[in-house]
Amino acid sequence: MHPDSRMSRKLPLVASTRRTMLRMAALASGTLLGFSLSTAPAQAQGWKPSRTVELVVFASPGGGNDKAARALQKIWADNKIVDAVVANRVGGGGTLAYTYVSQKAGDGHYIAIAQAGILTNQLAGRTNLTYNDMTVLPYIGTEPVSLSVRTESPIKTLKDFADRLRKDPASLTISPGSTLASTNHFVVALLARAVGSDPRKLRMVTFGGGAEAATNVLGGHIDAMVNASNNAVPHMQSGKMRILGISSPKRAASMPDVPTFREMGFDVIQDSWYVFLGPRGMTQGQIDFWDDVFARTMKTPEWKKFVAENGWEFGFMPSREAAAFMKREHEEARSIMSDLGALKAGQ
Amino acid sequence: MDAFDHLLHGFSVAAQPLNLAYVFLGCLLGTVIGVLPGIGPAAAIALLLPITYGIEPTSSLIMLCGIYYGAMYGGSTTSILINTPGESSSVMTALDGYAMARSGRAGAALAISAIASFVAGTISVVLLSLLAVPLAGFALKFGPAEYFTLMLFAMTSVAALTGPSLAKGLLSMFLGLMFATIGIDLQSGQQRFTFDLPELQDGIGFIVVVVGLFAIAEVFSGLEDLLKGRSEIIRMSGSLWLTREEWRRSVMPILRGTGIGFFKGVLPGAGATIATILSYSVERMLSREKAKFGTGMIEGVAGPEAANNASTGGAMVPLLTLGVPGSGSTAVLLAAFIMYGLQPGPLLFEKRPDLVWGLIASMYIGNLVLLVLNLPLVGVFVRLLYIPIGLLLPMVVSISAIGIFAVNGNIFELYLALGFGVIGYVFRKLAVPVAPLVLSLVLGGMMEQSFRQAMTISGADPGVFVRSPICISLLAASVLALSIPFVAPLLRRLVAQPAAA
Repeated sequence: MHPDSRMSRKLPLVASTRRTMLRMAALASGTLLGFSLSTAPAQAQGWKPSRTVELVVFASPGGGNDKAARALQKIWADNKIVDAVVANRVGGGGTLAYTYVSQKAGDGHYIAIAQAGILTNQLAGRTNLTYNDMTVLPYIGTEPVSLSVRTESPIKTLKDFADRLRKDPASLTISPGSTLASTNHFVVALLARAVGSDPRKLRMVTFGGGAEAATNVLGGHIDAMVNASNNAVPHMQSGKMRILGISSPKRAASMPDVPTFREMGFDVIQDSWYVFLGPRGMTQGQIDFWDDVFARTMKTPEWKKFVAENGWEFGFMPSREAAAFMKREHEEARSIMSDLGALKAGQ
Repeated sequence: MDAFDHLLHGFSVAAQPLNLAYVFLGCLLGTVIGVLPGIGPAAAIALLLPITYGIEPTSSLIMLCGIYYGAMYGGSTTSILINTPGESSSVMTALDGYAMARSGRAGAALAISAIASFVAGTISVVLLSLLAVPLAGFALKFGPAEYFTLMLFAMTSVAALTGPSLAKGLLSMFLGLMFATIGIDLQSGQQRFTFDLPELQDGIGFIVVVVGLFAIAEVFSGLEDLLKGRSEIIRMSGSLWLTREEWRRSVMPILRGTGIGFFKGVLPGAGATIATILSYSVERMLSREKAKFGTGMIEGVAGPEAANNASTGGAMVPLLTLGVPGSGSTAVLLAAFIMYGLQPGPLLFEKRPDLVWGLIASMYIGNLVLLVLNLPLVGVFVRLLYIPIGLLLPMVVSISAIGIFAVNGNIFELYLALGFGVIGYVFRKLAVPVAPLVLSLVLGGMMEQSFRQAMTISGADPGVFVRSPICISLLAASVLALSIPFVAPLLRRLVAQPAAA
């Protein structure tokens, strides 16, 4: 992979965050408009759910995206935005949930919360379902991904870490949490690529989840972990872990002192994003309806509280922008997975 | 004494009328959730989290923890009465508990499991109060290599549970290990034995197997008995309460089970389940009537029930002191702490002593509440056995089906459970034990993963398994556990021969 092409792929992403911020400003100024709309009898040819909506998540109750879905459902109920239930359809790294929703063609009553698995599962050949078989709805934010070591570690900075990878990519044991060829894994792969090492030689160790990886870092059984910063921030606050950097385009509000990879001179941008998907063949009216619902949700104090408490980064893209975003992410994931040798032939 | 002062202060927090009400509510919910197979404490706490949002953090956490340890009390009920463990930590209870119920001692089995739970729960809270801070680092000493040797020890103990025929026990265990390999392999990301079915990508869930092998198989044989006209109603023999003899036999297993449970609970990962296996095999090893285990030995109920409850106290140690959850349930509890802006860890003891010690004190009260709640229920639950079999069997099937479907919302798993029901029925006809299959399914996946994690970390050097004192002693214990069945008769003969001569 030529470094320039990496550069060019990164730029639209930065541009898109800037666009997002503009969009958010526009939304804020549009609050009055939204208010007057909701007091009007009904939108002209708009679509509205005629029964309870199913909000499908692929985590078990209590897991990452389940928490977000339940927060949304409560906000929708309290503010009388939409009448929804959360349905847990666990299995296949999200494939079961996506397949279930994709089968409800043209029905706006089914939406699924999606993460990068919708792209990587298909690229790795675990399913044939792609995001193109569904309708992309809004993007609602990201969780920063952080690289952390325990306090006693001789690795003090991201540069130390990168130097070790440059000398020998197999000299460090690193956990990407529970899944290989995931966003977390991509962060280390991109870093290895940036210092001219073969990402395939990395010694990645998976555990049952972020908490288990953290225990192994704290106990000195592995050298580092790279996962949603939620797993590391508490240990950093208690003085037991050091976060070397985050792979977001800019610093995170939840840990303003932690530098980004880019600031440290490494061209690595990977976020753990959340996008909603509906079945294929949704009408424009249905898409507009969901754009409006999420735009309104993002402005509620409850959502802002959720974002702050869970270390999310605020972000919103309406369906159209989110679809373009997915296309870019898909290309990027394909490129990194090809480098990792994790790409299924023909994908 | 410092801890004692803190604890006294904790009691003043826990004893506030509102907090007492939340302890009671949590324990009641926990008991109900424990009794129903399917929805476990982790899912229940997660579902209740949004509702508790407005409540004061201490009160809310007191209630959520009540659900956690309360579910351990309730878990034994279905094991004993209808041979269907609701959690992997009550599989061992089913072995002798159900046998006791078949011979008319359901009341005694339920009573001893409530009492064992109470004693173990209380002692483990005492240990938690005294040892939480000194033990904090213990959980971190266990890396993949240590876990592998621990699982190896647990598996060798399972092999020793196989009853009269070692071959049949091993058959069941190896089938369990095979089922454990189904799904996406965590270390390579590749699918194994999934036949391109997305439903199999995450492997076969414990609850599916357990409901199939235990509950549905039970229904099949009940049906057979009914059709052949052999079905007999179990008569209660003796009082519902324990006899003096049963008391005497239970005391030591409860104490040993408590110790095993607490210290195993401190280690993250399958704490309660491994603790019950270890406790059961210790009791069997120490017993003079080894062969009678599985036919309704009260020691086999008292020990594991003490162990699984004591492990809840142990599991609170890494959660409160390090912010490291050891199980699905404690992970959700951790999420609850964080939701309230509280970060468990050493700082929590300094910053919010009222909350930590209030919570610990509430666990003393909660255990008492659970005892008072569960003992009278014994009388109610044993009446379940009087329900005509034609009504009971459909009830078991529908409760199990709801339990399975409620977890993942997946119809495929219902068919899978039915398939395991057939396997369970065949096993029963051939006198192959099912417990080794279930336990190796739960532990096999973890055992394989920790083996491969250790090998990845060491760069494929098997020496990693003999590098720490913990590993070496666990390996030695495994060898010992395997050799005892062979060596013990030999020794006995050696001792007996000179005496006869």
